[in-house]
Amino acid sequence: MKNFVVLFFVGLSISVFAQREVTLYGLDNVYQASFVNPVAEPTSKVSVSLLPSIYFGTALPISGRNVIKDDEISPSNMIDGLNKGLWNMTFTDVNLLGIRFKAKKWFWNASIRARNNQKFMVDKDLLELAWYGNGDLLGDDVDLSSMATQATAYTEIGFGGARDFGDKWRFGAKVKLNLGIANASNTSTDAVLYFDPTTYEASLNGGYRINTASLPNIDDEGGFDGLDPVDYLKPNFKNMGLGIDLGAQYKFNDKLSFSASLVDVGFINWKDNPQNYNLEVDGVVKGADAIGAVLRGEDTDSVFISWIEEIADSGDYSTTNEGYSTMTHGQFYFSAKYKLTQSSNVYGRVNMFLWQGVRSSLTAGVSQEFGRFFQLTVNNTIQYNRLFNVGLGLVFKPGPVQIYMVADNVLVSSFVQYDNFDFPIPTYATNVNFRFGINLVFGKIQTEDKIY
Amino acid sequence: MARGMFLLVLAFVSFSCVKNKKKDLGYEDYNAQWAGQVINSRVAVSDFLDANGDNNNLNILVEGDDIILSYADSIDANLSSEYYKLQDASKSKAFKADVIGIPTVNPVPGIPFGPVSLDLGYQLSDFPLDFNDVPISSAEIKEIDVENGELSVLLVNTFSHPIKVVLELESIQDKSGNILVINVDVKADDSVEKIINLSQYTINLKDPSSGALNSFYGEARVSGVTTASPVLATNSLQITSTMRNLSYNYVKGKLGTFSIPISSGNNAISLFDDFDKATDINIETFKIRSTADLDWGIPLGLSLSQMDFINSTSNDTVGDIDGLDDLIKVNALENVDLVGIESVKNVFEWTSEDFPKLKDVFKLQPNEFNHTVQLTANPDNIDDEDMFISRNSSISSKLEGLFYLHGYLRDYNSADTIPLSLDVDLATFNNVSLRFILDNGLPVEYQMDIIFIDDEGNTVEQIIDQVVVEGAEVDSDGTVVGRKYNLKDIPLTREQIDNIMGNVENVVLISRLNTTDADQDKNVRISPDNDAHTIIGFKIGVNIDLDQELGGE
Repeated sequence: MKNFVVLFFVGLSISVFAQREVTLYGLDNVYQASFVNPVAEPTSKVSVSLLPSIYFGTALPISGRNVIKDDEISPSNMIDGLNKGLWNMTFTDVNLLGIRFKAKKWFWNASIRARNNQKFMVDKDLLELAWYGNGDLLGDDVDLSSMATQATAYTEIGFGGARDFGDKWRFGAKVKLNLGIANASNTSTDAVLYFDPTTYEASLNGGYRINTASLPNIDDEGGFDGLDPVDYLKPNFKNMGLGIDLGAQYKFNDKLSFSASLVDVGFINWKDNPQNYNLEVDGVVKGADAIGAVLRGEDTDSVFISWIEEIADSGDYSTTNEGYSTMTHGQFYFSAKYKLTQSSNVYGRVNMFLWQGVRSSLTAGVSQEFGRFFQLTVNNTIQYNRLFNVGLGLVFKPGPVQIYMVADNVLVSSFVQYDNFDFPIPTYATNVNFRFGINLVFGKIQTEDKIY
Repeated sequence: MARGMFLLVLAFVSFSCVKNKKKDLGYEDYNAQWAGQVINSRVAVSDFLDANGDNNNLNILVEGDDIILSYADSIDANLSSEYYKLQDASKSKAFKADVIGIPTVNPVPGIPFGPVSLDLGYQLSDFPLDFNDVPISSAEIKEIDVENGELSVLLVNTFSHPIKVVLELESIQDKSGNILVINVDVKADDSVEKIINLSQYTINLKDPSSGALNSFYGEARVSGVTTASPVLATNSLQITSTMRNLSYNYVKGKLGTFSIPISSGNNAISLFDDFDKATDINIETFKIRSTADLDWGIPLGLSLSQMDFINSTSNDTVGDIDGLDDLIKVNALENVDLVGIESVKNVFEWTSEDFPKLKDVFKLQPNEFNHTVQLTANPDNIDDEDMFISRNSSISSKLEGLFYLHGYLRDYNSADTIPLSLDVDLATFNNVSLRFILDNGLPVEYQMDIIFIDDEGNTVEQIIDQVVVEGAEVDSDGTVVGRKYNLKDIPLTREQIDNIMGNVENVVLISRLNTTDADQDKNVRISPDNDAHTIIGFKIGVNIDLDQELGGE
């Protein structure tokens, strides 16, 4: 017991860095596992979230060792190590209300969640241009089509259920009403920057569109002061959408089972004060017509002004007020689990989602129950060209209270501290992923086999 | 299994550590290579012409595909009122008793006499018209439309009885054709003067019966009643009519033949101002154009009595042109009512083929020319009584020397000094390469040397014989038929860059210019839409020490 407490507090003190909630997927006893695994089968008949479950996750493709080289901040080292570009994804999720209960053969669940996600990406080509200059890019297309940014805040109200169908199959689903709070996102056409190798003039062709909803117009004075937590409790039916979670599980035999889920597949139609900021660019940045201006007797200021005006004329900026739609952050999980003993199993898991390409991860882990009071799972995930991302899940159940903590990356091999920096810089970690919460669970389900 | 997992977790936890470097985190130097374009100018000859259009007496003309430098001298003159003046005309006639019909013997009072018509007609003097204060001996006036002036009629009656006089002056009519009639009662032994303002009147001086011009005609009808006073032989009624201070709207008639000096002067030629003695120029096409625009009713003859080209620097007359003495006939307006509405334009041109000597004159680079233009009125002495001059008649004459941009130019040199200061502390430049791209549609080849000098005039760096631009191709007629594309990269070494940065105050551009194939005396034509497209770009290697700039933060 003492070991467990120590481990619990140690676990809490860990500064964790983690990511996709692949660890949460296998914690069937935790109600919040149904967020990623609709067919999660708990051991309690009723589960109610006591405190709002809080999730925070952020990820980058780089760590400290990519940015620092030989005790110097090295943009070249960082850029050379990128694949398509520099990106960031940040998610926050507060489970305001969560309840799950068993009625006959069904496990029903309902939830209200305040959700935020923010993603951005800067093309590697653009970073190379900024750091190395365009000298080596003459004659090549600098592809800017991957530039992306999206920030979405919405309230999700969901209701779902799961049950067994026969001895082999179990299916679950959840339908969700998405009520958008605010959004800013962009769409872009094939934007290409090109530097002529002979004349050195730059041409830019493409279009960018930034959409906002439920936000002030950028031309308005005052700006945006941010969201308050109470905003998530004010449903905005002008920004409405739907979502669905689907899950399935197949018991191959007594030891081996497979499951898969498709979660957060949905959309939001943004119609509350939609603003579209459109920029079409099709022009060439040339030198100034200085010789002609001198011959015409113009002064240098007018030459510069004419040059600026010519550049500005190549862009066409307009604003519209058209509603638009965004997709929610859908993910796919596939898991295979092998039961070693009654209280332990090993598993392999694949996670995929789509954003600026297909992003996938591969997880392998082991899970162990220690009686009814404690469950521990440890795994490693291969993702974003990182071999080691060690995940940890702890579930502690003193009485009806269930305390859980989940993280997908606890590997914190080192920090490095420099004299001219106020905070230590993580050396290897590229992502943070942490969920914590407390549930009340009642009614033990008597089953011969415990399915996780 | 449990212990194993616990140890595993503990092992993971133990990896959490902070390594203190005990030093500052630095910044990688910024090393980038940037290429860009600074100048992109397409300049057509027409742009250059617009900017340098009016310079002293120089006008730049475009006629079709030809560009013409026009040095012109113009003069406008209101010849009529400026030069033509009417003289006063006066005639006095005394009429004795026998003419009037007054009995001279045993006068019986109360006997009416008359009315008797007395002829007041007379011939104007031989010189009713002056030109430039010189009487025109052959002038015969038919009609005067009076602008202003007056008629004075003085009647002196020396008889002892009053006389009633009705003057009917047929020569003087108003705009409606009504004859001027003046009624005068002259008392015995008295005189009366009547003054009539003649504005709005027309004076006809063609005798209706004989057709003679310069003829004033009219009559006086006198009547009265006799008194008992004796009539002396010396008694008379004297009538003196005077037209004076006449100014005209127009004068018609035979207006004589005489010379009018119009323009004589000295005009600058700026074409060769920037040429030095080494420059060799050939003007293949040159014209002299005379334009006279007038609304006179008298045919004129125009002549250039002198044209000399001078180089005032050497004070040499480098060439005079013969053959311009021939009189050029200038047509007249045919209807006086068209004055101010229409005019007759007469244009005469002489080409370089008429004056082959001019090419050699221009090679000597004259900077001024002298000329005299003279007009002769009615040079053929046409006997036409309907010629006219109007108060508003004027003549505008222009003499132009037209230099066509057709020829060749060899060894034209110029030097321009431009202030230039380059002092950049932020970055060092590892290498600099300047790129010159000239897409040349002008039949002009061009070479430029660039010399960087410091504030004391010392040469810091120089770029010699590297900027060379070939001229556009021309056909046998000298017309551009193909462009020349020139691309030149001029790299600067690190040493050169360091010398220029922070030391240069001025840059001297020395230019040498020749037309295409000028060494073969090839004449080229420069037309308005010939153009040159100039692109100047750079490629620079930049190094910035970010540790220094960002302070190592």
